[in-house]
Amino acid sequence: MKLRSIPLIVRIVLACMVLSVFGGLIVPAGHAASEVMVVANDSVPVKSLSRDAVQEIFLGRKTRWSDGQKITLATLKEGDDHSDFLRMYVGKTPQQFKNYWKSQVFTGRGKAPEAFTSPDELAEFVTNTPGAIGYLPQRAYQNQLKSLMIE
Amino acid sequence: MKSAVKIMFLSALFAMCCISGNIRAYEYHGVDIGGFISQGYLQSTDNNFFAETEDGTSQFNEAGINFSAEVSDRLRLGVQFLSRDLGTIGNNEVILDWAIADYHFRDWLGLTVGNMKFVHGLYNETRDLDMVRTFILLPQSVYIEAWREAISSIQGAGLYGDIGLSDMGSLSYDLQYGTVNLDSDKGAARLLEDQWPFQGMGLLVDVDRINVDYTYAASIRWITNLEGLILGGSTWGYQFEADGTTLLDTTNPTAAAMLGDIPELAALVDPLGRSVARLILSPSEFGVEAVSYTASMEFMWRNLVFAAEYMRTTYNIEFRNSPLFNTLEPVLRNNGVAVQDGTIEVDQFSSVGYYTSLAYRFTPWFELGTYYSVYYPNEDDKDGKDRVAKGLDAQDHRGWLKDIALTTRFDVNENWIIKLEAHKMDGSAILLGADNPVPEDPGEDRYEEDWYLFAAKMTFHF
Repeated sequence: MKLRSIPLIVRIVLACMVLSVFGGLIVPAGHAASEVMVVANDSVPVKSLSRDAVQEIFLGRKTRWSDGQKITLATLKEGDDHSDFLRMYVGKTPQQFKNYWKSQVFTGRGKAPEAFTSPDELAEFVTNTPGAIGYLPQRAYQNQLKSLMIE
Repeated sequence: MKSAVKIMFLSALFAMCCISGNIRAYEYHGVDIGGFISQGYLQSTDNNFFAETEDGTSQFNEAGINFSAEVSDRLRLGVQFLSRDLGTIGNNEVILDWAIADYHFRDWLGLTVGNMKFVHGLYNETRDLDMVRTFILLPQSVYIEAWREAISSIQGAGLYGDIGLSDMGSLSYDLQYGTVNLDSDKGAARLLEDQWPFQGMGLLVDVDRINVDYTYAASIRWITNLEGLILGGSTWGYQFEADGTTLLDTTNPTAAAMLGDIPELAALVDPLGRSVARLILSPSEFGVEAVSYTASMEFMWRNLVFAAEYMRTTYNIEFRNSPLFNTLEPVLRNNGVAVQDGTIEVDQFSSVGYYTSLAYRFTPWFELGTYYSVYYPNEDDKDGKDRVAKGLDAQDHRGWLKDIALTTRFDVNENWIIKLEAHKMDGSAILLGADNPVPEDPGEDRYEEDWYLFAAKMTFHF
């Protein structure tokens, strides 16, 4: 076989890049962030968290609250609130976050967070699950759940 | 029995594929079930890359299914079955990839016992998981395909944990000790056969059995306070014994001459031996110690991922075959090889490899990646001249492999991924002799220095 395949692969790559650019599908570098608040079950023994602590919790590196209670993670499956939360507090894109947890689960290192389609489902889960932590759009859920201040 | 296991394995995977449409693992009565199945195709312009890639091969696939459950707040049990094929490696036998009991005492201390994924570099634990990375083939300088089974998982016990460093980020560590089952028909055995230093004299070896005395691995990662930057270091070590059948290739002029000149050698050869390669009645034994160190760096900034790793592995190898080596002692001495009590010690040598990679996700469905990878099987012989002089290889470009790779990844939806990848290769190190036999035409080169490798892969995961 000679090098006939190279132009084909190069053409596919270039076509995808052109499509991406002109189709307006490039991942936005930073659209207007929605107001996301970190919420927790009433049993959670803290009122505030550092940004680093939020990252450690959502990457499974911190698994217990200060009273020994197990931390249960609740996430949204997709959407701007999900992307904004991950970008602001976890330092990952939704794809990177998904790959991170796939790696953890498929190598026996952890259990993936609960993931919900709608904020209402997530709010209900956090309300009813001791030790649970999640995030919600601030405007719609203010004063409905215990919110944690992020320092 | 093996085929029944394979059918059950594939049936379970197929059933899961049908019922799953979620990015999360499927959950059944508290047991999380995840899986993946991928099929690839490899084509090279020259040289066979661990399979008959010159003719194009679809013997390139992986499938896995895992089950895990939290038995209590601190105890988790899990198991993963894996099947893979790459030419003669794997052959889709279903193996226990990992099976663990994990007790999480504190965030800074956890204990795992069982068959754990082997820690090495940034990506060794996830190298079976096509869906979590950009590339089809990881850089061969640090993730050599021939060593894949040898450093895939470790049976024993391990400690792990995460330690907060306040303003300096955090540290993750892993310590593992145990052993590994190495099959004589897998890549490590083929690699060992290629290290046999008497091929130029027409003496060949076929490894029959490998017994690993011990294996250890340790890894530390510093998740720095500079967002997205991870620095890491890892090490692993091996000690194993192997034995194999020795053959005399009578088409080799040196071997033919030895057979005629040394009557004692003729006595060691099977009188019913084949006309070309004759069986030598005494088996050869190997003793191998390998110690490896890897430095790693990964930086994620939004949709960009940059990684770089450097790995150095030092080998101590000795060969034992008293009847044969004592008989050939004068010939070996003339070739610069010293025999001591029927044992030949190869001078300690180190392989080095390094790469840098870059990947960028342009859209939620399209990602582009590239890497440059360099590997030298002997850091003191980067131009391959010594290998040729010692008769280990006939071509100096067996002394290096420089690989420029370009990959496209398409996420068709949450569960399906298609990847296309091209490699421009300079050199022929890491290629196995078993995949690239000596050509019948003496004027034809066994390996080509400049060649291309193309890979395509489609993966379903849930």
